[in-house]
Amino acid sequence: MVRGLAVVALVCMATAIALGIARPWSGGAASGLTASSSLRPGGFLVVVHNDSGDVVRIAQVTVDDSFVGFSAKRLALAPRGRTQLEIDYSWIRGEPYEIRVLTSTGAIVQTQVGGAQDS
Amino acid sequence: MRTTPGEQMPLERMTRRGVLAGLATFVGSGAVARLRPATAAAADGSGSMPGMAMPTPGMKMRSGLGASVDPRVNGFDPTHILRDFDWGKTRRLASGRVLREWEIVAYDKEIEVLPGVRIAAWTYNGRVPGPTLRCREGEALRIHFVNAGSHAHTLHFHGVHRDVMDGVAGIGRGLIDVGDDFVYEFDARPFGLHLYHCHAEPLAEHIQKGLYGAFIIDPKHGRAEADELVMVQNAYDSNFDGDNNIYAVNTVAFHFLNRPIRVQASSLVRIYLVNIVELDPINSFHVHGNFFHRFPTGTSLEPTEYTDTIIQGQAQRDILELRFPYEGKYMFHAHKTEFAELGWMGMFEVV
Repeated sequence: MVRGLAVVALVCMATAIALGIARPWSGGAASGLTASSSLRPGGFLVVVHNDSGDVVRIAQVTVDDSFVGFSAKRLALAPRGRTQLEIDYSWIRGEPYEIRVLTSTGAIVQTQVGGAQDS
Repeated sequence: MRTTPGEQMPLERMTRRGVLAGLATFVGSGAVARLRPATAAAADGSGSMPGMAMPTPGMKMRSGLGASVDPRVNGFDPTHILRDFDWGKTRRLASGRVLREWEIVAYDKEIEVLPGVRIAAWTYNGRVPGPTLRCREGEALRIHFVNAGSHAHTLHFHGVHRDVMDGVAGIGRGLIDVGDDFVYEFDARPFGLHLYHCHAEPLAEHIQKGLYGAFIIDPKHGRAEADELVMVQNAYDSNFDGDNNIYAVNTVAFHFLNRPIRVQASSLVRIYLVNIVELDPINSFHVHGNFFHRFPTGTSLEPTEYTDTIIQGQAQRDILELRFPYEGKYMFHAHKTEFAELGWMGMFEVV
């Protein structure tokens, strides 16, 4: 009985993998992505470059371990493409901030802004 | 089984025929298109994202409030999981005891844990957390386990049982290889709120990828009638740097902030709270505008504490009971506030 279930499940898995539903996945480091950031009144500007050979889709942004809203003209970056993210944030002069950009695969590219160098 | 938009086929309740039919339904649905890899997305930023409004140039993307994952993408809904108890199938043995049986299939599945962010999960019956298995104290339990995943797995139950049924490598059947199966058998004891998870190594990875679920053993004489909610606190390390960066209850970050849990004023609410977060040593639960009675591990019918905040270590469980005296919206969240702002916050809507 259970052996039959195993066969059925394995067939399902093979089908799912073949169709791309349960394929092996690659998340992790955002290789080929770079980001730079700067302060603006009431927020940050972040520029993301895609130096990889793949299209990368930006999904979310955090500032100091907190998801934040952002606006962007484009979220999908073609190879060698770039985009600018605008983040509303009530930053404090002299304090450093870590901004992390998450892609659709969970990979992260991060950048720092603020702190002593921007005071 | 018929499915409608906004609702999903509960894979966790499928029979072996249902597993095939369900996956066939999934494969044949628009989910295939929604699950295409990010690399297939339009380079100009157009195209829809699961659970997210159509991105348009200059649009404002919101995190947390307002942004949700479409439950149809994952095939399960965190709201549905709250009140979804899998009682299995029962029959009475010659001895008069009740035998309760379940079928659990482990397989790989991509899931969306935050709008636009998808991870490669390992699941029991296609959902994370796995089905909430529920039984009564003293019953004989039998769990038919099939490993249809890509790595060796096990089912390890918290409870009192013989070593050969413990689901750890090197004892009894130990690891269940890909394509293999095993039947775990033990008695339902002690009553309380327990846990099951994969115990293959590396343990943190097998758990964090989604192989866990709540396991409830009701006391022989039951508990007072209540609106019962299962909340499994989990987290994800999406870039594999050893730090979690997405936190949730029932898998999808901010889900209950966008879809508050509706409960009745003055009615008893019972929360089965499980902490299965890996990589962080502690987690916590705090409710606004109210206090609750705490029953650690649910193994006593007498509460040990009346509070509004508790701390849980890894794999720790508590049953919490409360009544909301006033209508309105009341937040709940981890009072490790970093976790809260990375997804672990929600709302009760008291009506």
